[in-house]
Amino acid sequence: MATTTTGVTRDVVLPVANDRAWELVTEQEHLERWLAPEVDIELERGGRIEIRLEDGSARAGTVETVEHGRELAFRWHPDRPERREDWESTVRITLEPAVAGTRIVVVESLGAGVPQAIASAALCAWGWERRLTAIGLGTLAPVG
Amino acid sequence: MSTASVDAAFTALADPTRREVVRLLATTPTVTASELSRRLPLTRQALAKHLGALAAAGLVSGARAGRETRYELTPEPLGAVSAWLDGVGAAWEHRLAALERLADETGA
Repeated sequence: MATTTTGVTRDVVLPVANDRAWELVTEQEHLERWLAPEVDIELERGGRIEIRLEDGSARAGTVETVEHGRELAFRWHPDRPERREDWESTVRITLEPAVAGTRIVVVESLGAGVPQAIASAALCAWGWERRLTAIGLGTLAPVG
Repeated sequence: MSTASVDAAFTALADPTRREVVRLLATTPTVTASELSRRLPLTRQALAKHLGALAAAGLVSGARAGRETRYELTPEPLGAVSAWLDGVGAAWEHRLAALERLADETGA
């Protein structure tokens, strides 16, 4: 129970081989065409990631995992000083072989603390988990 | 769902005891600090303080009943958290759709 976190999972199958998919999810020129208009990423563990979103807001964080062809993970948070830790989340992008190409799975998990209460108690009690699942939005399941 | 109410709910729920209180309240209509103190290894006074913090974040509301205050869970701020999750999900759907278009355009 203590290790569960609440996250959002989304995936897509790209009609390309693993090598190409890895380029698309890690190289700046590609990231700036799908992740956000401005992306700076140091592709190594502990590297900085700085992003400017369409709405002009910024996010910044740290790269946690770079496993070539398999996984890119980073922590990020809105680039504002107050209560950063409350808003920090981890994004894990994994590549898996798929029948027609490469599956990209993205899991964004909320930071420590809050999620398990939401996941295991309150939301379940009110059926929000079911509601969200029913309309195909959040996946409020334990991840990681 | 304002950002401020999500902020307040996150902050209040950062404490493990308060999460446990919320968990208990999710399965109980109302509780008092005394009742909680029989179910959790904390004093009535400590629990009254936690309930006060949850009330300040809008997660519970209290009504005086004799010498004590009875609290019930009020779901709206948690709804704000779930809305935040919805927003995160929608953002990734948007991004992954763009990634798919990019892959289609540029080919293997």
